[in-house]
Amino acid sequence: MKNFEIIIGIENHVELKTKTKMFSSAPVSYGETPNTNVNETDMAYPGSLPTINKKGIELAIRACSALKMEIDTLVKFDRKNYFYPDLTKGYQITQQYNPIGKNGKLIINVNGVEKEVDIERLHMEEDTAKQIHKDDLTFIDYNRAGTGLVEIVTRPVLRSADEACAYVEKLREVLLFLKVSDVKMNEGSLRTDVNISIRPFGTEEFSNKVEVKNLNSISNIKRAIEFEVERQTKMMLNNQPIIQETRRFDDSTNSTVSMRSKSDALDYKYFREPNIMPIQLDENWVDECIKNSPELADIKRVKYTNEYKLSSNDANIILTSIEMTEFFEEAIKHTNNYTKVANILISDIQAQLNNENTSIDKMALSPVYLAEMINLVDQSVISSKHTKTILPIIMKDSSKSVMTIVEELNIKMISDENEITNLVNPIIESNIELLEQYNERPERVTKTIMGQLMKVTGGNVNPEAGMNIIVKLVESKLN
Amino acid sequence: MKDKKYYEDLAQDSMLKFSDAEIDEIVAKQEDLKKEFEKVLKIDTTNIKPLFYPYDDIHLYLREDEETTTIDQKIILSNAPTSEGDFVTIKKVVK
Repeated sequence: MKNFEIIIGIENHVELKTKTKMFSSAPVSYGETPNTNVNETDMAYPGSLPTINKKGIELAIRACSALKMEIDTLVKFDRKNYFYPDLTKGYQITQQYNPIGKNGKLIINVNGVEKEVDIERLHMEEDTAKQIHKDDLTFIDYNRAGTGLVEIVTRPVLRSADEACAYVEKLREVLLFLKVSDVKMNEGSLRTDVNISIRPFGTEEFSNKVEVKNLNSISNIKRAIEFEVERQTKMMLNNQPIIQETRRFDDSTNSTVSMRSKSDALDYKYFREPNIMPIQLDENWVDECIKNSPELADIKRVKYTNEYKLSSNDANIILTSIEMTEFFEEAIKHTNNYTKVANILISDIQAQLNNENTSIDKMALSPVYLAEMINLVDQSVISSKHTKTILPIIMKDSSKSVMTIVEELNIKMISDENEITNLVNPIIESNIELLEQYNERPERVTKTIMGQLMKVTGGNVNPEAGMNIIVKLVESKLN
Repeated sequence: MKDKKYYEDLAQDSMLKFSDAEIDEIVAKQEDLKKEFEKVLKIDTTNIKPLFYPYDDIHLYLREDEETTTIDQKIILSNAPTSEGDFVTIKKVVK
């Protein structure tokens, strides 16, 4: 296999996070009752006309800007004609000839080595209806039909399955933090098609490219590419022609299966969409869209490690989830103990999220209360061990402040000097013989008294204040 | 002159199937059509840019992503040739 060079290009379809569809005002939904979120335009009723979703354009501009693309502010759409019931009009509205973005790049990191991936184009289009094939019928749900998509196409510059996976992961992170899409591969809001060809090192010509469509996880991208490279290599070594075709990945057999060859390919007879006149975007508005783009994970990563002093590992764990990131950033508005917030998020809270198979935004836990709990520990109002008691309560119920819970459970630490003195005196009196060891082993004496103090108070004494008073009282007793 | 193969390919793109006799009829009709179009080809279009719309204009309007409109599922399903439960149904066309 080492004798061949691998050439990979990737196309990603990304569902835009808008309230309404790209060309109609029907709501965008996932998991709703089929055929309830559609209107006349989605169903191509006679006389209905498309209108362009401003937010859809804004999200496309954000993505273009983050991918360092040239943005075409004269927006034009085209028709991709095909006869199939997943779009009722008989065509898809897309941008074949004038993509909104072109000539971009994205820097990826593969095993510690940086690589710049050239992105050829980003264009807007609409999603198709969802189909379920069962027995001799196809069941169609038009709720998804017309949802805004951007398609992002790389040049054939990737050279391994690892590079392909790193690219999709990085692109996913960028789009997630830009709030362009929720990029859930398992729910289809990010779908990946991979074009793979090989050539012997030292030759100019590639084999015919094979497209593997609709890969729905990073691991499937890796497995599909590895399978294809091995399959094409064997064919090339056996002097068999590699047919230009579209294949799909079957994860039960860990192999790709032919769907259609080039000879079956449709001619989509593209032409300019006559129902949508060219739209000139206001340059100031485009600049505003770019200026108001949410902060990218790469910028946050630098801030988390340099400014908040998190380890790079902890920063990366938080940044794998937008919900966790937003929670962290809200919590640190109310406490300066950034590392403690990160530690609790990554350990206790993450474990609970895993157990309940949920995300932090679905929990009752308030970032303000988490910060309050951490502040109370830092101010020695409660002991750090009590966080184990308080945390499960505030994760389930946000109706009470942490201070209210502390008072109800009577776990506030005793820091008052008189109160501690009154508690320590009887302990010293009942341990008079112990004091004789103080000159030789002072720590043993003070720690024994401290242990008894903690026992009688249920561990609720401020340890620092307690120890100061113990030393003071023992020494005054001996003098 | 477009041959039989051209129309077979066109039929495939349109997901239609024609018999040999029907294809022959289409091929025969094309000569008449071609004569009509030859008149159009005589128009001098030198230095004329393609026009995609009835009038050449640029719009500024974009729809806000706020108001939503839907139509009742019952209407959607009753307009479909066949339906089952919440779905529009068609004869399965994939293998």
